[in-house]
Amino acid sequence: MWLHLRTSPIRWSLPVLLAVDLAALFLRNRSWIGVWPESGAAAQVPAYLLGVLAAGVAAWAAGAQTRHRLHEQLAVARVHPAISEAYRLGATLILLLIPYVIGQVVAFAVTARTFPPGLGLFWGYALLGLFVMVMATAFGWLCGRLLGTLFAALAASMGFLFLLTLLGRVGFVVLSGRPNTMVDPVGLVLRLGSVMLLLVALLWLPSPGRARPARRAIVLQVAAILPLAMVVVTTSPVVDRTPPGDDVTCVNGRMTLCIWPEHEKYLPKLRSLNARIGLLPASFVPPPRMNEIGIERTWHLGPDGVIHLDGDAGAPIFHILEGSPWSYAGDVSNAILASTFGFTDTQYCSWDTLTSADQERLSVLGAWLEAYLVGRSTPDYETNAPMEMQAAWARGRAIAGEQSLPEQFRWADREVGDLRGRYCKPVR
Amino acid sequence: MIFVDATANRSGDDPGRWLPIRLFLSVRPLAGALAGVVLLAALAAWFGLAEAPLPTAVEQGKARIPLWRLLAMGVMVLPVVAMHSSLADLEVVATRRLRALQRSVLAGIGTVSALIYLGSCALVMQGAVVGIVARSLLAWFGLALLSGAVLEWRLAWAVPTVVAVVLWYWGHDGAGRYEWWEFSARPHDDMPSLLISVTLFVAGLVAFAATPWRLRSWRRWLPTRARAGRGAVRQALDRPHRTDTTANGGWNCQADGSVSHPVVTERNRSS
Repeated sequence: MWLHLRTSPIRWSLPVLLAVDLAALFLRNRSWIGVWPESGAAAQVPAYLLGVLAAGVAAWAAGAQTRHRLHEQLAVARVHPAISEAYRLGATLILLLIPYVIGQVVAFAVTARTFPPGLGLFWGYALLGLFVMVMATAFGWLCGRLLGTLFAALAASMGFLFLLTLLGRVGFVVLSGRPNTMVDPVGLVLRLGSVMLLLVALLWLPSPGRARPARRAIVLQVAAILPLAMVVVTTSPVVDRTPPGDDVTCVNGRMTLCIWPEHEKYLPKLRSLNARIGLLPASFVPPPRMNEIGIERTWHLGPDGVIHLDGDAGAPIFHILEGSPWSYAGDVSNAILASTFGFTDTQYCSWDTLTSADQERLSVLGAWLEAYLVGRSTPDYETNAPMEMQAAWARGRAIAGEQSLPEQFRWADREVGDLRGRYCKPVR
Repeated sequence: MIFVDATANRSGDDPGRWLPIRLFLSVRPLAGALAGVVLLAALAAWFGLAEAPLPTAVEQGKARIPLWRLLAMGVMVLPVVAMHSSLADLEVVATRRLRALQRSVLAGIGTVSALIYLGSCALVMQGAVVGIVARSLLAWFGLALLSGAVLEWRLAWAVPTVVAVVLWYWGHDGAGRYEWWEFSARPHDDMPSLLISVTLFVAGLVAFAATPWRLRSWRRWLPTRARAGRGAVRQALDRPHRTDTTANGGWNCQADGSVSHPVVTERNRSS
């Protein structure tokens, strides 16, 4: 085996593959550092890039014996062809997995410095990427065996890309590891099992350029590919996690903000957010509690007899996307405005009669609140909202950026009182 | 190719003119390459506007990369891969005639492939997009040539594939636009992309033209120090009698401090 590892043509490609893997891991948004599932998912993403290269490289390796004209020597060897083939395929697989595994180890080491809870979720994503790499290798080897030595590598690379395109429609590509989702263990075991089956079946393919593969070998391949295709198409790689119940981390204050324990690195940011909420004028009425997505789920029985996820019931939710403070500040400011103005309160308020001028004032107020909660006035996202709405948001952010805090609060207090007084009866 | 001359004399004048190129083509899988190009062109016409959900460095969610951009690379790699011949071991010693044939055949089949692909793209896309395709074909061809000439014709896919992966992952700037160096996606009248494409094309041509004998003459233009450093061993091997074997026991120190060891003196020392 060591001999095969040392003489494989793949070893020259390893530096390139490793460089691509590490670059894809670090030359991007690095919010994954410090959260286990996100780390596993971030180190899993290069598998799709490496897979494209690995398919080509595996096809090249599959044709090595034909290129070096070793047919006669191998044909008269005493060992069974499938066994010597197993060594070659095994060496190819091991070498191609090295860059990916190094990437995962680096991601592990970087997050292990803070060691947050939720390590178990990391392994699921790591194995999912491993599956992608093994599948790419198997695909490349198959191309290398069936298409001859010349065009196989190109065909394997482009073919794997094409495969990704097709499978992208069934959710094959996983990009992030939010704490509210996890890799489906059953699906993962099925995927790994079926791809191993394919690897074993590949051993009975004759080398390219000699005899055409026997019909029996082709039937064997098809029989091995079918379960893999079925599994990939029918199962989803990630599923929602069950709500954690009481095992959540919460920040108390004027409002209670609860997050998944895996997201503990965001606690300081959420504390400062909550402190800013505490400073808001008394006319703002924040909801008593907000949850990160997936912490509470309420189900209700729909009229058609199917159980639906009820998004409106329970406490309002917020997201933490790519570590951006704007992602949760936007959700929190919307929830505060909704409970302050009682948008859903049809008993005392009549927001159906909202004029467009007041709509604009609400937009200005919402943008101000969002920017105030973040503490900055230039957002990190792009939007394709209508121009007049964007202009209103820009005015709101300008207020947060330019005026002093007491001035801002006086203005906001006046706006809330004025708008509420116009559309709601003063009951509360 | 010596056998070309031998057989060319035996046949008549008119068919003889075409014999070298027929022999050149008979050991190369050009038909397969053209079939591949036609297949890719058909895919481009059929699925070209479908979008591949590939991961990217900046955008939350997936980048939507239209398939025609992915297929364009393959279209330009195929003709270069087809330059591999089953007699490659013999052709190592070939000189001008083979190179001339290679040059004209490569130019011809490259143009034909590009035209086939552009034609099929023109069926389903607007003129501006076809312009982008044409520009990226130029760059992919340069990269494939570079890869094929430096590594091996059969490895012409290697460099373009790596470059393609880099472009697809890092090519977005996060605001729905592309970085200035992403030559395969920016608008058709974009100047940096055009410059990069032309540069890559020229780099490919230079790599193709860099035959051993040309490299030798190009090296003469290098400064003396670099030449001594690079070619020291080879120069010593080429002219064993002119090396100074007496000064320091056969070890030949060059001006820049590198040490080379002539073969002849090695034999003398061991005997």
